[in-house]
Amino acid sequence: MWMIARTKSPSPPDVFVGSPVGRFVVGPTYLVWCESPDLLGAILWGELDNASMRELMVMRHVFDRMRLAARPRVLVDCSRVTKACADALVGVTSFVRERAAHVSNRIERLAMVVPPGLAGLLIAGVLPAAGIGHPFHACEELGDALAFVEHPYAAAAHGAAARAADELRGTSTFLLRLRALLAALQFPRPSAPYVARTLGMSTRTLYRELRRSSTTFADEVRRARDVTPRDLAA
Amino acid sequence: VGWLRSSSVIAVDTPETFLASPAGHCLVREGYLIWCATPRLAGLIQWGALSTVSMHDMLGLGTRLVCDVLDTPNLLVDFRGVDCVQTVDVSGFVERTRVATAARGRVARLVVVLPAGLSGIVIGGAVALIAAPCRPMFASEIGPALASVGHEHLAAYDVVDQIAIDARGPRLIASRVRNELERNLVDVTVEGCAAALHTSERTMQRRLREAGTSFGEQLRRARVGAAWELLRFSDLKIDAIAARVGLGTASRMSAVFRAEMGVTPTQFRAMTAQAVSELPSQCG
Repeated sequence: MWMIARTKSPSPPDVFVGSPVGRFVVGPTYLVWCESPDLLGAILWGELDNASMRELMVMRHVFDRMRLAARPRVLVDCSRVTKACADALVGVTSFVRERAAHVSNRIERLAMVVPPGLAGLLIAGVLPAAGIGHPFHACEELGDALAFVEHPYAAAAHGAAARAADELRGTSTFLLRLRALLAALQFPRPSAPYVARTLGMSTRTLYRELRRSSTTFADEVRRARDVTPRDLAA
Repeated sequence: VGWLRSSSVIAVDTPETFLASPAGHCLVREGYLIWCATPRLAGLIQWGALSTVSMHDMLGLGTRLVCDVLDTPNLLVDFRGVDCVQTVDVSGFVERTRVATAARGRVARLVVVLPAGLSGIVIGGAVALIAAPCRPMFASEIGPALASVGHEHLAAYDVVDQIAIDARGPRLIASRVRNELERNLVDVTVEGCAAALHTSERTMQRRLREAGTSFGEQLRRARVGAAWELLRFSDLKIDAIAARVGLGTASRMSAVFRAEMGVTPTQFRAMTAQAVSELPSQCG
């Protein structure tokens, strides 16, 4: 049984950093997963603009702090990206270039699936232009990328992560954060004030955001209980 | 390493002459130069505008050299002289081209030297997609790239590089200087830049004068360009950006930026905050 396939809910970044295997984290336009100490992946969707790139840059801190036993093989799937903003990619390239040696030393190989057309061309060029030194393969077919990654669990783990990403796409950032927190809490009935405080907002704001997302606190607690039968402890 | 060690090379006039006996020869074409040191080491130097015409010609000649003439060579492709990329044209070219598949297994090692900025991203993406079967390696400087193809005679590479400069004219050196500056804007010196380009300070300055520019002008433009990117992309404060691009203080950056762009950094950031970014052509 593949680890990612057993995980139904995203983890908060801190939980993911401390023990990433079998877990994934989600942002507004990305999902990052870790199947085993030597296999990582990411799925990106939507528009890669300045705002989403800034969000994604946060993940570099996660990557730096992750406890991995080996230099992982990495599969990045950008096939769901609909538009790539050139400005944002130039900026990301500058940031990655400053850390290229560090990143390259930590990665065994990286395959990237890109969308067809202009967006794919630009996305495929970011890591080469940043001067990464690890083996790199860009392609439009997932099969080509899986062949390059050459890991027995890559196809199954990516498939499970892609299903999770497709379910979560379109979910608001607020709900993603709330669900990640509820999934990680060890006690079954967290109070609304406690959750609001942990999310850095007032209880009134929490309820307002819940109304805006057409859900209730009780529903979200129930949902977290239903979909996390200790799968995080697996 | 053949002529690269002896620092002599013979320029030939036609693709047929070059392909008949490539070792020790080079050929200048529209927008690029192709060279061959030995049956195991060859390369290309590209400059100016990267058009589909020059890319097609270069890829065709390179493929014939690799598949029909040489014996699984190491290939070094130097794009540092490219100062203009038609993004949409290159994208269309990549869509239509998988020529390099023919070279699968025929290239021992493909090393590509990329220019800075969006041109480097576009070319890097094109090479990564077109030449995927060749497992390309990427570099931003010529020294490590030469080492990767098993050749460390930097001075000798300058012989063929000089032919490219002569063919392109003085603007090639301006492109190279700009590229070098974009990589290090803070501790930059004329001496350091000349050394990185494997030329003397006087020669570099003379060529820049011939190109109608100067080291100071190129440095100022490179700094404003870098500040432009950081203002649009990052949340860094103005003084942090100023320090990062080598302009020292926010007030100095403001003055330099306004002189070049007509607005202050703060005004520029406010103007672009809500703007929808379009994919630009680098040739503008």
